[in-house]
Amino acid sequence: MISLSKKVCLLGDFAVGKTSLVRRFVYSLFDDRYLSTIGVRVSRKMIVLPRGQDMVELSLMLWDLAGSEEFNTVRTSYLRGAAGAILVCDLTRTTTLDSLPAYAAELRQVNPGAWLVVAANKGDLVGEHRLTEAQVAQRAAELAAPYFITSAKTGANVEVAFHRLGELVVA
Amino acid sequence: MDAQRFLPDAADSSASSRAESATDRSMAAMPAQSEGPAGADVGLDELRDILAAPDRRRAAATEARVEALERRTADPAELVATISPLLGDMIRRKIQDNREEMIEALYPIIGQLIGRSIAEAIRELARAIDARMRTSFDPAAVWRRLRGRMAGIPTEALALREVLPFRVIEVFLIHRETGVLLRHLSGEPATADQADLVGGMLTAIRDFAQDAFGRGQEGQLDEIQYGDRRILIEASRHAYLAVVVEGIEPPGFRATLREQLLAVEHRCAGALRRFDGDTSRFATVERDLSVLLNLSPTQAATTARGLSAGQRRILIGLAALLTVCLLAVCAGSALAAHRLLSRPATTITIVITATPGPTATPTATATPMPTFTATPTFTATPTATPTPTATPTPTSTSAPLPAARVGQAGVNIRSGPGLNYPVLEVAEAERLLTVIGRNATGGWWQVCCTQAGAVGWVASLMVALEGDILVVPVTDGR
Repeated sequence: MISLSKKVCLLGDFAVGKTSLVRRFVYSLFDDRYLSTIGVRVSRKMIVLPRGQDMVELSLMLWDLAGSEEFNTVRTSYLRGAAGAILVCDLTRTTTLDSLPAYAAELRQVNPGAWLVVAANKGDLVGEHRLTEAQVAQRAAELAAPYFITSAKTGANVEVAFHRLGELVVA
Repeated sequence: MDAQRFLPDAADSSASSRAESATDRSMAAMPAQSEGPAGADVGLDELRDILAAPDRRRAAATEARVEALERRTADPAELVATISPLLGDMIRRKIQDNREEMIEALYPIIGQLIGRSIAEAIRELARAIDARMRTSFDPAAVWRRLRGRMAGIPTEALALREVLPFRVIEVFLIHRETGVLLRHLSGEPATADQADLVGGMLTAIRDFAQDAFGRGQEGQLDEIQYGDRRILIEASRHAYLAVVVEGIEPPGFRATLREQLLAVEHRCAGALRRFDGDTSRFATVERDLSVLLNLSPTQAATTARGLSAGQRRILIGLAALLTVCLLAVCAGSALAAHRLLSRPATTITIVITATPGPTATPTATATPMPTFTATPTFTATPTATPTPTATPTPTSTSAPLPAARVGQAGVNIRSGPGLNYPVLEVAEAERLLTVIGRNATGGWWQVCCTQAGAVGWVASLMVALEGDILVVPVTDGR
């Protein structure tokens, strides 16, 4: 089995649920305070994928970046060397989807070959949705990225989204 | 008049009932008091006594309590016995609730005490080392003394430095751009499964420090201290080493780190430049890095001076061989002299055949040169006739000099190895410069040449190396 380690980032506006995705589905040694101090927290997500005849044990080193204006000046250096990113938006707030192209541009400026996956989070809050799946699909298509309607609360599609990003970065 | 209205709240019911019965009596006596002025005074006194009695009793009790308190405070032993349990509980609770505040409050006292205690301990240690230095005939001590003299450092200081504890606890080799952990060595196996996360966060902290404090500067975070432990960081173009140490690193330890990192960069140049996430390609560098983990202070200092353990062994071997050869020559000479002296006196004719030594031309020939002949009774002929076999051939096997390719940002070619030297020229991106030397730390490379044909220096971080840096000599630029 081949072992690979890749750096990927979680990007998205404040309170879209990036940290919730990390908290429930990946291994983290450090607590949330790092996000408010240096603007980033590194976690690990292990997934196993097929690649040709081999199996790949992929260690996704997830850089969860604070979705706050005050860390904008340091974000670029945190993006350096990232093989891909999960762009997270909140289905209950339309502006969070509008922000995704800026995040994608920032990432691809530093890493032109970076892969993207869009996670439209809070899929469980059905009655409060302000975004339709069609809108998400259109934005994802513009970014040349697959998309998933996820829920950090129920776990719906979270593993699938990470898995898809893993497939893209080892391809 | 209702006398009971003026009675204060009685502390006990008996006093109250006594007061009530006294009041009853006084009320009963009232008609008698109206009989004359003298009788009225007596009645008033009695009434006053009755009314004031509870206050008097209370005052007496208070007085007794105050006296008891005064007695206790006047007796230091009793005072300590009373306060100690309360004080202990209070301090414990305070420490529990607000440790930092207590430390700050106590620091001026405790810090001073600790300082004095440490100073005294160091003085004791220095005295002990001094005494040992004066009496010891250990070769190591003699060597240390010699080193001290040469370096102008007191021998005691050298000895003290050697006994100070120093330990390398963990070594992280991290890919500079991605923060992915390439290799991790530790004396504490419990930390192994979290090392990649620590590596990632270290990279984030480096980036943060660079962005927050190092804008427009070439500096970088090179040390983090936490309690007794420090993280020493040494970076090269594609990777960096983060070494967790305890104690004070020996002189030259940084240079050792730098050398190991350069060796890693050199050995894995391709894998580092085109890093695809496969960390197994760096397994070969583990042996290099384990040197750091097993380094003792003296080893580090020696390594830093460029003398490895293997080299030292070779030197010792050569010295031993030389000694044996000298002894053999002496013994042979003594034996020959003894034999000559023990023979009867004879006239000896010695025929010396001189054979010319190897010359640069392979056609060298031997020409016998008889020199003198005495009356021949005995002839000793040396038989050793060395044959010239030396064939002079060109032995130039030096490796080609490495080249430094200038990065996209360009690079300043300076007149010396440091930012304080003036810039001779700004080399444009992708330009190739021949590396002809390096400084002791490997941070600067001497290159040839500027457009004007001058030799200059470039920061190694700003260029990509093509070739083996170890083939060029270490030079200080003078």
